[in-house]
Amino acid sequence: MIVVLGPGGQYNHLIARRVSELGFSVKLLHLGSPVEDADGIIIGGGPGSTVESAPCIKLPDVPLLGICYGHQLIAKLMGGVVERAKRPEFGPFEITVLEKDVIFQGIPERFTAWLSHKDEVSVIPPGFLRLASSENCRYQAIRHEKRDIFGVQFHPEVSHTQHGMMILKNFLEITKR
Amino acid sequence: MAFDPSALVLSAVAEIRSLVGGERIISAVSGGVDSATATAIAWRAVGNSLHAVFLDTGFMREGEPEEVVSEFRKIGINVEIVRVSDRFYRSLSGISDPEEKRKVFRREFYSVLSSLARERGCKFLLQGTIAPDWIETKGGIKTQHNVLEQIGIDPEREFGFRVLEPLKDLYKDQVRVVAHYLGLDYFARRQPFPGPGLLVRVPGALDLDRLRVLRRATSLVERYLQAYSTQCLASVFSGIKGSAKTPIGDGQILSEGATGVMGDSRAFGAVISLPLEAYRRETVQELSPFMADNGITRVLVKLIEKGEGYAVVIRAVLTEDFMTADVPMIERDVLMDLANKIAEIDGVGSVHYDITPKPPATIEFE
Repeated sequence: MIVVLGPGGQYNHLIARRVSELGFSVKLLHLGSPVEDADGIIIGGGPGSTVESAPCIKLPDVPLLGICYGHQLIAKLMGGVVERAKRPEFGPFEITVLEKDVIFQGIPERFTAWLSHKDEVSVIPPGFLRLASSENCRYQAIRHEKRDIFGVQFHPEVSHTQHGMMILKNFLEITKR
Repeated sequence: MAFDPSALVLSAVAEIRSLVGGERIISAVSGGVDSATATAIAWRAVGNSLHAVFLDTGFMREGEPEEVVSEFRKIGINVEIVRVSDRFYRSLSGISDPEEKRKVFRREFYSVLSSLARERGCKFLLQGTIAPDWIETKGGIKTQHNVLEQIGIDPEREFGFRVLEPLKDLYKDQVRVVAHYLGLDYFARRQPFPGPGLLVRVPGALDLDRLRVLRRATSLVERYLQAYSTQCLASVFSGIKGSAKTPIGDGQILSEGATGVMGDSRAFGAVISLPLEAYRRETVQELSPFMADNGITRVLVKLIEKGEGYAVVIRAVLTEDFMTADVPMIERDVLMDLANKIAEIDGVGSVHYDITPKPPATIEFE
């Protein structure tokens, strides 16, 4: 079972739809709900900001993917810094993959992704690596060196993002291990 | 797992039967694929206990009520047309706030349905609500007229009926699959059209003369751009109210604002029109920071300027599920031919093309 935690954004129901389309059973919960029996967790987007403070959440030790707000939340809670973006991104932008990590397997070095964010991760937490960037945003994708914790600033779940399904599939495959 | 329309229809039919017992259902069809599909499912479930109505709110396209009713007749469903445009025009007059307009529309829409349901002895209202409707309403992006229970309105207490929403967890592309499965090809192919109709394409205070221009412009846009887009539409602004400098050149500001969505929050802001040289895919990307800092939700390019008069905006989008939308880079010649035709409509001063994807814009203007 994959649990999608929604912080109130528009695309969280869509994330749940994609997970189900990829053949995994899925449950959509509000961020902050207790999570039990998850094989993997995805934290989606939302209108909130983690620049000032972030909600404390307790999650089981299973593979974790943060998307947009979820990406910023993970970075913040693990010791990184989130700031107002100097160049916010709305709509399509080009992503450059810097590290061909497991979530970017089978994905070209450059692809177009859709974004909608005013904040961004400006310093990644200790123990994290940068996997992808865009012209305006240094940390488009990050991961923990050892643990299966990932964050992406762009939205793989929306239909306009190229290879979005593949990126989600790559993450979901990790939860089977 | 691939989406299975037959399973959806089977379970929806069974659920409707068990919920309604022997009671009658009223269904408000708009001609859109969502309400048509929901209606066809309910028809399978309860047959003649379903009473379908089409509310002519006065915000329909040219010839729309008659066309919709005749298409329903072809699939064996009778639809009653209820003419209520005067009532809608009256209650909306003088209201310019977009959210207020949508809420007044919703109130009038449900009070009409409420009295119709009582007169026709219906205890249930069937709606074609789909996932993006309640996601956008709950998220405070836009009030969709067909969302009640999800935001805490008790329809039984307020309006005297219970609500059936067999499609509420589906997206538009999935509804289209169900529609084709049910043989509703005409409705599946039809241009999406918002519940409040042309009302949300006359930005700001309702103005019947702008509505007249909009009806003509909409027919032209749909004729020219249908093949280039998933959805295409027009909007008629009062005119141009000023000018503005942007990092990529000088632009004009339209008289009314428009809705957008930035960082998962509703945005309402200015609409700016740039010279035709800005008709490039990268323009909105380059202007993203400027838009966020200056409260701009839309970027247009100007196709024609005749002088004083209404500013007509052409919008075309490519989208699968209406959650994100791209703008097709249509040939300039095609756009100019269309703009020339629109400029012939009495009262039009300028014609523009909207180049803003969703996000940061929404598909409709309000």
